[in-house]
Amino acid sequence: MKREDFLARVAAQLDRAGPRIQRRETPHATPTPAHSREQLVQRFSTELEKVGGAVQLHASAAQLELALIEFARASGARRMVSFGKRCFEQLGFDRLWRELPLNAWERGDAGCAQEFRAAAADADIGLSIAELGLAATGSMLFACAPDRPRAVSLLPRTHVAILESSALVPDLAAALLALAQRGVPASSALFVTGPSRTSDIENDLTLGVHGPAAVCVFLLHS
Amino acid sequence: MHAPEQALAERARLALDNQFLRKAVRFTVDRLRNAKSASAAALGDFEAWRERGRESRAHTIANLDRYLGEFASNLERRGGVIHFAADAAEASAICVSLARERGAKLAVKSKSMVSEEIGLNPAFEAAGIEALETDLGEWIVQLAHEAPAHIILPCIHKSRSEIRALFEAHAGEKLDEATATLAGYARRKLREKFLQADIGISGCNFAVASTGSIVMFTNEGNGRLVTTLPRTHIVLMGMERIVPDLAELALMAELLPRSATGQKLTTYMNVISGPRREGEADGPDELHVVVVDNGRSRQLGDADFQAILHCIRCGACLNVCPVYRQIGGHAYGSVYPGPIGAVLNPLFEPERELATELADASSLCGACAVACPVKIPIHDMLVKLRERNAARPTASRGTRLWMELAAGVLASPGMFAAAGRLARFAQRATIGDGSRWRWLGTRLPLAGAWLRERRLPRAPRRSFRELWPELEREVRR
Repeated sequence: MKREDFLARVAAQLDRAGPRIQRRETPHATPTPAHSREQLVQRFSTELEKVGGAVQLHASAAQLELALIEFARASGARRMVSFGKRCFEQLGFDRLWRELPLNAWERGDAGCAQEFRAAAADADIGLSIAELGLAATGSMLFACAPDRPRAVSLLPRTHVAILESSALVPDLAAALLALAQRGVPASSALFVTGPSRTSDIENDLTLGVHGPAAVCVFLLHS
Repeated sequence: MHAPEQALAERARLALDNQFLRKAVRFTVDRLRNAKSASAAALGDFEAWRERGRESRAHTIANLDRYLGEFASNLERRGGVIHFAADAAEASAICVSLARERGAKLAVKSKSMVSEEIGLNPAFEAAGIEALETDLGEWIVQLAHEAPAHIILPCIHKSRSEIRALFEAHAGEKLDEATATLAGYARRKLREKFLQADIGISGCNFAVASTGSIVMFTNEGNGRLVTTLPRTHIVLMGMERIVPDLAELALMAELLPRSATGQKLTTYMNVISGPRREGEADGPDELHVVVVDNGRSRQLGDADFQAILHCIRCGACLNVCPVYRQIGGHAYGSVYPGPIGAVLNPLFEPERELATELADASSLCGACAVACPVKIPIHDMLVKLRERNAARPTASRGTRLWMELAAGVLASPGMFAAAGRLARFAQRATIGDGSRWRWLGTRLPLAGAWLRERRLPRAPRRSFRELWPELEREVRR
């Protein structure tokens, strides 16, 4: 059916007389109370743990890098994939890339994309960096971009995300407001709240049936 | 959607005889309902949130043509392709021809009620293209060649040993009954398929007019795989899924997961705006959105039923319904089960026999309307449907005679009182406790079955209204 005909049918059925109704004011009625950074860190950690995620707090990027290497070794990861190195630049990592079997996505031609997908499907750990953290729900925002492939947070068994406490916002409403103010939306803006879950077999909770079975957040809070 | 083979009463009887089903349905709806109550309470003043939800949906649907147009333009600006389908057949045909043009052999699907509604799987099968359900519950239901039994949890009617048997037949190997084994098998098998698939098909929970985005709330992650790995992503969308902008999406995001499963937010909430962009590593090359009418526009402008398009498909009304609790989803014989289904299906398919039956499968207790996060008066709609059914030319003369008689009696106080006296006398004489003639009652048509299972206290000789003058004097004293 043609768009004009479809919309005309809807309009005719609605049979609206007079001018079109004005767009409503933003309906979010409860203003979010002010939070200190400390409170946001607390709340985020509690909420993420409630849904089966794990959180490590680190006071410096150097300390966080060491802990990451330790974590990957302890988990026996053979292959890892990550966002492009540029995403981690401000953290000043140097050992990570040398000491771990880490395949970082670098922009390239379509052939590289196929290879990267295969690597991600085969990887034990995907390493990402979150754009925002949502304290009220323990969620993280990942907006797709050339250096930030979707597969990293999707295909490996374990998803490790770095989150800076300066990127914490109170809740989803605040995060969507931040997204709305950006102008052009990302091709995929994904909010992740804990590991992949299902209760389809006799209401029995199971993690990782399709996505990562574990979500570990390394939270940088100096 | 295939017409069910048996009549409603027969389907209900089958469901009532299935003890596993009844136990599983009760357990599931109690779990979901309790989780919802807890998380709604944590939000604080849930009634105010429901009112905000109702206002938002009412505003959007009242301006649906405008918001749909805005959504279509913005989707195209982001590189997506929009299609409009008047009915189920056209929607299926669009999907099949998109798949054919791309030489597709395998389509992976994430949960979509609209795809069930338009009968997409049979259409793909007829075109020689495999359409694979990837939501764990939906996959199990597909392997068993059945239909979903609940909007949110499709396979609550299957025991783990039935699931194991299905998987063993599929695998050709022995598996044990541990949830981890069964889920692990599904992960392995479905992963292979995801990596081969040419087309991904999903539903959507909302479509944002101001950004041209489609929004999916999921827990398993198959929705992400379906929308990330295949080259082509097709979204099926009921035309009423629109929200005006991201602020209104935030409001819906407070209501939907809480009402569906009691979660504050689902594991994944994905806001997809167009296909993969230049330089991005992954994501589909093409994004097609098929907007489906299929009877929805008939409800617009109808003061009694327009609000049914406010529905956000959370399933909260199923979880509180005393009828659903007893018979589960399959007995409804339609794509959408429960109270919402009893209203939706007849509206979508007014010519089907089902239309007249489903409205009667309700106690009109109103629990559905109280549970609804956007305050749809579902039980009022059920009454209106009964009214329409009784007025149909196909309604039996008996039905119409009864209704006319009832209307006459209820409209006249004298007749009402007389009818009450007669009914009390008859009840005391026959089916009331202690009557010598009780066995007669059990032979009655309709009431007989009920009376064989239950006892009925004897009605008092005088009604409350007849007692009132004396009571009033007593109260005054």
